[in-house]
Amino acid sequence: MFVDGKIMYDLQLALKSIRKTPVLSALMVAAIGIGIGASMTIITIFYLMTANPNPDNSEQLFTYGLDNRLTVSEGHEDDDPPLMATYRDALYVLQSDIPTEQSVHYQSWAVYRNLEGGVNPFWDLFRLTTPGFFSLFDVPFLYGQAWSQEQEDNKDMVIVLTHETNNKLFGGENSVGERVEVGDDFYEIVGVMDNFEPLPKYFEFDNGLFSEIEGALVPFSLTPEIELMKNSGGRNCIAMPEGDDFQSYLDAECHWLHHWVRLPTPEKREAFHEMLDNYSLEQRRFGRFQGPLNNRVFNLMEWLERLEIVDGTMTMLNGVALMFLIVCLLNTNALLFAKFTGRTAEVSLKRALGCSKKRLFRQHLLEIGLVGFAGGSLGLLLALVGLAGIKILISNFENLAYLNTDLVIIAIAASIISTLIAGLYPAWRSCQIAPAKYLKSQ
Amino acid sequence: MKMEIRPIASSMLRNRTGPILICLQIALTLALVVNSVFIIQLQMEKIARPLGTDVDNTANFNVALVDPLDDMEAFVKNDLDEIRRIPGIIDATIVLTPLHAGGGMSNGYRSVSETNTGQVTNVSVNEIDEHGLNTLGVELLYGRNFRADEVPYPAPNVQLGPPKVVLVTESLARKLVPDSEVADIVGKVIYQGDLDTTPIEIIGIMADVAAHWINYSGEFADEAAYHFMLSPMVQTWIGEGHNYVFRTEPGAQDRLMAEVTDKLYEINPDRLLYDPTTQAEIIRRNHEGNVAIATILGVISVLMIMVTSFGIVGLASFTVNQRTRQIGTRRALGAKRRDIFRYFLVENILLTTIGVVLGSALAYGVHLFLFSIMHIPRMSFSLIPVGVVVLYVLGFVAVIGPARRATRVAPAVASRAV
Repeated sequence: MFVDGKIMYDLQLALKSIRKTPVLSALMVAAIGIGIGASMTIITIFYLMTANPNPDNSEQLFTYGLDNRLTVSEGHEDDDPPLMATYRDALYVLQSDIPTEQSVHYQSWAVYRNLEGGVNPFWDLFRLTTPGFFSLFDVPFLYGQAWSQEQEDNKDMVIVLTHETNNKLFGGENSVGERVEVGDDFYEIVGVMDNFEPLPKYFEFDNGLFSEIEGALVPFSLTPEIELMKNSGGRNCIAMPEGDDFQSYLDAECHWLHHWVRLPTPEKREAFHEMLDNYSLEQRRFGRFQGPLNNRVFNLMEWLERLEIVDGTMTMLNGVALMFLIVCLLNTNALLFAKFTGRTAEVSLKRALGCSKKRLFRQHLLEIGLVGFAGGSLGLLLALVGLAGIKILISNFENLAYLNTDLVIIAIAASIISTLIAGLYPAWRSCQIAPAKYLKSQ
Repeated sequence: MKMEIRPIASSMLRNRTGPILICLQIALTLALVVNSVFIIQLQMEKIARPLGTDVDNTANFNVALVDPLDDMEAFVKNDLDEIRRIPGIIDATIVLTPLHAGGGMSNGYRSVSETNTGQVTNVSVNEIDEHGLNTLGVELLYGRNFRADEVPYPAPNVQLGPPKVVLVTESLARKLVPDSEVADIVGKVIYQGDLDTTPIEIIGIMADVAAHWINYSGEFADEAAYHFMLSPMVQTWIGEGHNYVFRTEPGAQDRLMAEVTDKLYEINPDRLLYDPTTQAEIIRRNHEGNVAIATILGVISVLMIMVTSFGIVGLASFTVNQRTRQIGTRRALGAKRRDIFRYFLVENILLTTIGVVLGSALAYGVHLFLFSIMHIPRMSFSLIPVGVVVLYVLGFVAVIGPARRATRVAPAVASRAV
């Protein structure tokens, strides 16, 4: 109905009408372009910050909080439990067979050394994790593979390097089977990761949610062997360790481990939660978990929401972007009114010569749509400029300031739709003119 | 003037859609620009706050040994002595955390006097040796610096209790001991936290040095900006580096950063230097977010003002075109050019007035919303009248062109088409 044989002719008319008022048209395109450009710049960053980093698995990935407070003051019974696990609780949960896969991990800084020499020793992060890390978070491999559960259980001295570390130590060659010294220990390389940059880096919050995965990874079961304390990210204690030795460090009521599990069905989620609750009740008998039952299980997106990535400043910038777009649309709206009202004589003439209201309306909408499209394209260009500017302003936004296909489509669609909305009423008003009215005065 | 408002208003009421849209636009622009300027001001204040140290000539080196020693005292002292001997270096010291880097240690302190019975003040604390004041370029107002024998060097990872002596800034001295003359605060005793009873003697008062929370802008930001203390201690950690700071003669920094690097490797090649950074760079990184927010809001405000003036120009040009015949008639009936000019001006002033009244209310509403979601203080309302004046001027400038065009309509136009 909207599209028929005369659509091309109407399109020509629309173009002609745009060209007839060059200043007004340019002002409209500029206003929409600036509005879309500025708001898209901010929305892009927001969109990439809050994107689901693992859409295939996000419904099955869970982390938990165990409320092991020793004292609970009044009114704080329902406070969120700690977002990290204690060592002994993590070990207990690791034994559960409810989850199909599990990853317990933490990281520290350590010194890396190439055994052949030729590379200066350097600092980097060093992660201890169960092999579930690689399957839960879909880690891609360049060479080799992750260590097996058996190697984990045997406390084998094996290591997986990140791509970058492999570049630094071995010039990017396949290093599987080579040995490397990290901290004071020697490890055999079993795998080299490919680039792995989930955004946000959801499975921990120790080094910023938008940082890269650095250094290398070794089995979590080595923790008591190599006695590596966590020195990257937080460790929060509700009671001081009882001694200075490493065992006291592990036994202390301190939260420092990130723990993720795969629970493929809602029943499993329930069973897992129940298992945590039973564990809490059992631990009470040993003087732990003195608060009310207040354990939580979060899936990936619930967890990200809990981390409050979108802070007040981000909300403010989003609001500013939205208000700015509204101002630009109001502006377009006013200009379209001006334009269509100035055309009453022409409209009357067309109507008098037999042009239907519907046809006229279509001509107007085509014109508005074209203006919207031009504005949207200009807006995209400006958004690219804006994003380049933001990369200069904030150095760690490298990965958060690019336009993908989704965003390009959103920008063009948003601009055409919003221009159409802004133009609908002026176009409709313009079509209501009685054919004879303005002919009289000519 | 008064006579004209009624016909103008009634004409605006008849063709109301365009004017309403422009009014709304002016209102939104005012609300947004006023709030943006307020937030930009906050960022600028944070950036412009004097830090109290020789920012331009100090640099920070994070240094660690590949194989840490059990006793780091001799090692650290030797490193620092060697650095101090390099020509062009004024002094060198070791700090717990780089200054003004955004993060750092804080502790509560209280003084027990007649007026201040144990109220605890949160203080930004850095630990330093006896070369600290000279290296950072901090002026000592009263009292004395630490003596070398007052600086303990505990074994790595061993943390000692509260210090015996401290240096505090003038602002902190006034806060901790409110009823004394600043000079008399030297020798007074304070205590750490709520309960600790170890006396800590204030041995000197420094000119103000900014606390590490220079980016905080909440309610007590101004009051707490200089609540800073130096405590004598050289702490090292296993598995982490320690921070050397050195001050150079002006202009020699680039050269000396390279020389210090070489010297440190010469003393002991088996060490790690992590991110040698000038103090100015540390501060730039710390302020990066502030600069970004200020720039984004600034650009958006300018664009918004631009777009709004597009709207005013567009609407006014259109009205002039619409009314060509009407203007001609008025001119033919004896209206002067300046009457026509004034007509469009008054119309614009009416529009702007409605817009800014709406906008002022909206600006306040937006502020209340931002106040609820961000750590910001209350806005000073003097910003709103400034914004109002700006929008009046903007409206005036935008309408001049179209209004001047209107004055050029010839009286004869009125009779032509009839």
